[in-house]
Amino acid sequence: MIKGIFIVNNTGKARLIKVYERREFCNSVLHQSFAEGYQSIVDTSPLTALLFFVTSTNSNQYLSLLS
Amino acid sequence: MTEDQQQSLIREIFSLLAKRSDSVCNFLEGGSLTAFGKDTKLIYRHFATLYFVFAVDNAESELGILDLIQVFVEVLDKCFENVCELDIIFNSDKCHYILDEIVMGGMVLETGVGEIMESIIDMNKLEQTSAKANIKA
Repeated sequence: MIKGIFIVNNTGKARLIKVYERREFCNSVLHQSFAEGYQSIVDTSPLTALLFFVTSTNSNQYLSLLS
Repeated sequence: MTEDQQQSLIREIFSLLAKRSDSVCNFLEGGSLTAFGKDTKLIYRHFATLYFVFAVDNAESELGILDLIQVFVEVLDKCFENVCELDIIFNSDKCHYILDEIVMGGMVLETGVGEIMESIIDMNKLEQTSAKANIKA
C-alpha cells in the first residue's frame, strides 16, 4: 500500500502532500488492479489530503522537470 | 494527520533526502519516520528542483513505484507542456486530480500514460462544457 505521496522542492518546501489512511472498510469496493494484475480491496474511505505553498522567489522554479 | 504533523513529516523526509547525492540508490528505509510504521520505505526521484517521494509498505515493489513516479511526471509534463515547479504550485487541483487517476486509497489504479491522459482530456472537455453552460445561463 502507498502510505503517502510528497513533492518537496530542493529547499525543503512542500508542494504537494497526499496521505492515505485506512480508516474503515465499510465503503470498500472490489477493484481489479491493472498495475499488479491481481484483485485487491481498495479502501475508498475519505482521503486526507492537504496542499500548502510557501511563496518563493527561486527562479529555478521555472526549470522544466523533464529537460 | 494534522497540519503540524504533516509539516514535521516533510521536514523529516527532506532531512533524509537532502544529504543523499543523485548517484545513490533511490530507495531508503523510512522506519525512522514517526508518522508511519516501521515497515515504511521511501522511494523517490529528483527532477530539477523537485523531489517526488512515495512512502510505501513492504507489499509494494520499489521498481514499480519508481516507474509510477516516472508515469506521474510524464503525465504532468503532457498536461502542462514542459511542467515545472510553478505549474504544480498554481494548478494544485489538477495535480490532485491526476494523482487520483493514478492512485486511489493507497492502491495503484492505472499506470498507462495514454489511459490517464484520456481521462484528463475528458475532464477538461467537461470543464469547458460546464463553463460554456454557465456563461449562457
